[in-house]
Parts: sequence; structure tokens; C-alpha cells
Amino acid sequence: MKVIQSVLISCIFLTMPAAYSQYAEDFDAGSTSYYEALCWDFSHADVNSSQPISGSRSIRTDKLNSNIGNITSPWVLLSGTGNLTFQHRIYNYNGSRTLKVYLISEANPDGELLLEYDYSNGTTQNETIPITQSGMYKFKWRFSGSGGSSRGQLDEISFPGTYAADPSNDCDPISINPDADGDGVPDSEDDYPSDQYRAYDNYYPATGQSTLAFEDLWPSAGDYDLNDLVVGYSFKIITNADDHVVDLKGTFVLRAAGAGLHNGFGFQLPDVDPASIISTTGYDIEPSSGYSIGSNGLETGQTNATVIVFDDFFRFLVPSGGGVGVNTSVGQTPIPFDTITITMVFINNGIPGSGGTVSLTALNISEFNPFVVAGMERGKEIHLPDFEPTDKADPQYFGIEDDDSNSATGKFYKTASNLPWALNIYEEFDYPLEEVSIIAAYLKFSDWVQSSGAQFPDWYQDNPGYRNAANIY
Amino acid sequence: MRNIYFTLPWILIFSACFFLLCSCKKEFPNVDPNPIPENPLELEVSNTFDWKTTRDITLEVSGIAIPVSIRNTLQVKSPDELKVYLKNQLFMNEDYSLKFTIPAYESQVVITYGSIRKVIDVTSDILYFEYQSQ
Repeated sequence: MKVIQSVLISCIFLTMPAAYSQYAEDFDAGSTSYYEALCWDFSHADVNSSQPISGSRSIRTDKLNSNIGNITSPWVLLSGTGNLTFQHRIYNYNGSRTLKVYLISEANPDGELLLEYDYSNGTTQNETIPITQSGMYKFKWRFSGSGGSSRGQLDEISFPGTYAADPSNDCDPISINPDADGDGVPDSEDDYPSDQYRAYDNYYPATGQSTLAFEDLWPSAGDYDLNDLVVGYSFKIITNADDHVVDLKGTFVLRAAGAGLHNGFGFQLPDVDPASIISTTGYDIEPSSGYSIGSNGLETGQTNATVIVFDDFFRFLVPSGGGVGVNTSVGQTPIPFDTITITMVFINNGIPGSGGTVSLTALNISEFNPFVVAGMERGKEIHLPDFEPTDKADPQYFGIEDDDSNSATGKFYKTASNLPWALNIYEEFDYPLEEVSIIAAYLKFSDWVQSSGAQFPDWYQDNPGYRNAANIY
Repeated sequence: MRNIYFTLPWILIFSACFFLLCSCKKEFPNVDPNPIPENPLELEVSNTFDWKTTRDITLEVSGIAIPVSIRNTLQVKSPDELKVYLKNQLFMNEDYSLKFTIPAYESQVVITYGSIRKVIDVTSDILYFEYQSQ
């Protein structure tokens, strides 16, 4: 055990910057809670600005009539030489008052007495105590006395060693955590402990799948059963220690299509330069579908990275006949869901795409821009409300029939009365039956909409009174 | 006797008015200021409603001056701590501005940084996290 401790201490010595060779505190930087966050412990004492010994603040105990004021330092790694120095005094001196200073270790939590000082007046004392111990220690100051209103004060402490507590780990002694791949993320925190180029798995949504539900008759308003195309999705975003996206895996579950049109589906990553993507794999497009895909798997001619996930839903879930489309009508033979997984590589063996790195914050995956390509007509895109069309959208459809898009005001894919053609629901969504409006299926939907989202933000969940189950597929 | 002839009509008039007013009151319909339409096309939707089921949050993290370099993982989780909305490696002595997305119905989040754990009410789109206790 001692050997391990010695190795640990040696490691810490090796990793401590020279600038931190001496730890000192004047208590002028913040309040009591600030120093508690730095692992100082105060019992019947605080960091106080009332008549400090020096600077703007000192430590001051409560009145020492029935209380004992204890102040304990964070862990300090002592070097074996040097002095502990500090200033102290009794404020409002009267009667018998004593200060004891202890050196505390894990082996001796009661501490070794370094100093016992009996006050005879209220003047400031400058103390210097030689310290010969080496290793992890704390120092404890104990003010005591009885009667009157005297308080102990302490300031300008300098330790013969380095600060060695970890405020993010219960203020335990700082330790060297193994980091096998040397990426700066300890193995215990690293989802890829042996891969220097990967550190974290990030998920959106946090668990399970979100759901995209589309109407496909745009620019005409539909029947609002929101089942013309239903796709579940989730993203796993792998980032490195610097918070840069390394890989993105998008999982798309093709669930239902209450449609007569053969619809495709894609998504755009707003503000991501296509040149930042090294490769994209997993999409499923027939060569005859007419899409133009570049060497990195993205659609060409787009300002922002755009992926066409599939070109025709009905190639994957083939209608069984009866009713409209797939998996939307009672009596239809249910068709098993199909899954398409898209993998996008942003950084390969530490080398990013020519467009540069993309941080997780810049990726902003919750704002990804999914869209339907209606009837396999490339220019006829249907997006979520107020999401911009891609460069391939045909402008002739905007502002006609029921569409009230206006690029000048940023209004897209909404009617004049602000109804959308698609919804993005954070969780798995049980969509309405064919030709049953969402209002008839989800009984709190109208309240949510008409309150601008203030009421029933969980309208899609299966809570009592929220659904008419007979109207849901 | 004369008094009776004089007061009786007035009593009848007052009684008639009373019943008339009561019945008139009953005729007023209960107007719902926010009626639920049967047709989705009749929904009254604000120009500013964004139709999102999620809420984008900015988390402002205040670093604390610490004599050593401490790096640990900050996580933002659901109140039951089953969903992780954000996971990021932060230096304790640096300030950060981080973004994450939560379901719109979430009213609290749990933020952890190593052994530090705080429950924060989602009262606005900007939340603040400090390592020290409040």
C-alpha cells in the first residue's frame, strides 16, 4: 500500500506545474461558499469582510463564548521542507483564548499538534512553523475560549506544498486517473478508453427514438392524420476529448405511410459544410431515382451537408393491399418496420474533413432539418414548420394553394393560419389511423396548439384522458 | 285596503322583473374563450408558435479559480437521471456556454460534475451552473 502511495505521490509531483509549488490563500477572492467549493471546511467560522486582518476578507470565527471555531484546509501535498506561515489574532479580545494548529493525515485524522498559542492581547500575530513532513496532509486551526464576545481571525496562509484536493471528487486527494489512450479523458469517463480519437457517445434523443410525422399533399393542406410518412429516428454522435464530432450514426425506422405518393426522405445538417464530411454510408437510393450523390455520400449542389436517406418508402415497406399505404388502416396486414442506418465520418484517424472540425454545439443536432421528397419529385420538399428548404427545392411551390411560406419573414411550410405539414415529436409517437385527424386522436393537442405550447407540452404521451385509443393505429 | 290595492301591482311588477332577469341570465351561453375545434383547419395558431415538442436550453457554467487543473465530466440529466441530455468534459477553472435540448415538458434537470450534484428548475431558456453552493 505504501508503495502504491509513493508511486501516486511521485506521479503527482511529476504532473504538478512548477507555478503551483507553493499554495497560499489570502481569502480575498470570494465568499465562504467560494472557499468551500475549493475544499476549505469551516465550522463556526466563515470568510468575512468585517475588519479583516489584511486585504478585504479574513476568516472569522463565531463568538468564542460557547463555540469552538474550526478551520480545515484542503489537502496539500507537502514537500518535506519549508514553513507554514499565517497571520492570526483575537478580535474583541477579552479573557482566555487559545489557538491550536494540527497537521492531519488520512492515517491520523485527529491530527498532530503543531502549535498551541494562548492569547494575551488582540494584536495580530505572524506565525511561522517549520514543516518536515512530506505527502498528503491537511491543516486545522482550532480557536477556543469561554465568555465574552471575542472571535478568532486567520489570514494570509502559505503552505509549504501544493494544492492537492479534487473539488469534483468529494474533495478527496487528487489522484492520477488511468488514461490508457492518452486523450486526456480518464478511462473511467471515456466511452472509448483505448481509442485516442474518440471519447464520448452522445445521444439524441437522450433515450429511445423521436418521431417525424408528415402530411404529403403540400402545398395543399391534408387531412392532418399526420401519417402520410412516419419515420422514427435517433442519433449517436461520437465526439473526441475536444468536443469535436468524429462520427455521427443516424438510425431511421420506416414505420408507416398512409399515402398514395411514393415519397423519399432526407435531412440536412444546418451550418455544416459538406466538406467537413469525409464519408457518408448507409443510404439506400436507386441509381434511377435521379439524385446526385457526391464522393462523400452527400447530395451535391447543396450549401449545407444533405443526406438522402431513401428515395421511395414503398421499396422498403411494400403495401399489402387494402386501405391506403402501409400500417395506417385497421384491417391492413401489418408490415414489419425497416431500419436504415446512416454513418457520417467527420474525423478519420484524427484528421478532419477539408471543411474543418465541427463541435457538438455547432452540430446542434436537435435542429437537424429533415424533409420528405414528395412523389419522387426532387424539388418538392416538405419540411418541418419554419425550417428552410434545401438548395434543391423548387421555389414554384411556395406561396401557392394552402402554403403561406415567405422567405422574407422566415415563414416556411405553414398555412396562412400557421398550420404545419409535419411534426417532430421528441418521443416515439403512436400516429392516428388513416383519415383520422390528430385532434380526434390526441385530446390535448388542440390545447397545446392554442396555448402556444404552454398547456399540455406532453400531449403525445399516454396519460389518462390524453388519447382516444380507438383513433390511433 | 287601499294600501293593498296600491302595493299589490308593484309587488307583481317586481316579481315579474326578478323572474325575467333570472331567466335571462340562464339564457346566456357559457362562451369558451378557447374553444376546441373539431376540424384541425379551425385551430387558432399564434404566428409565433414554433410547433416544437422540445426546448433548447443554454447552460452558462461559471468556472472557479482553482490552484490545480481539474477536468471532469459535466452531465445534464432528467430528474430521474435516466436520460442524459448533455455530456461534456470541462475544466473547472473555465467558463463555458453549452447548449442542450430537453422535452418541452421537463421542468427540472439534474446537473452533475463529478461528485457535485445540483437540481435546477427550468424557469427560462438560460440556466446557470456554479460549482459552489448557492
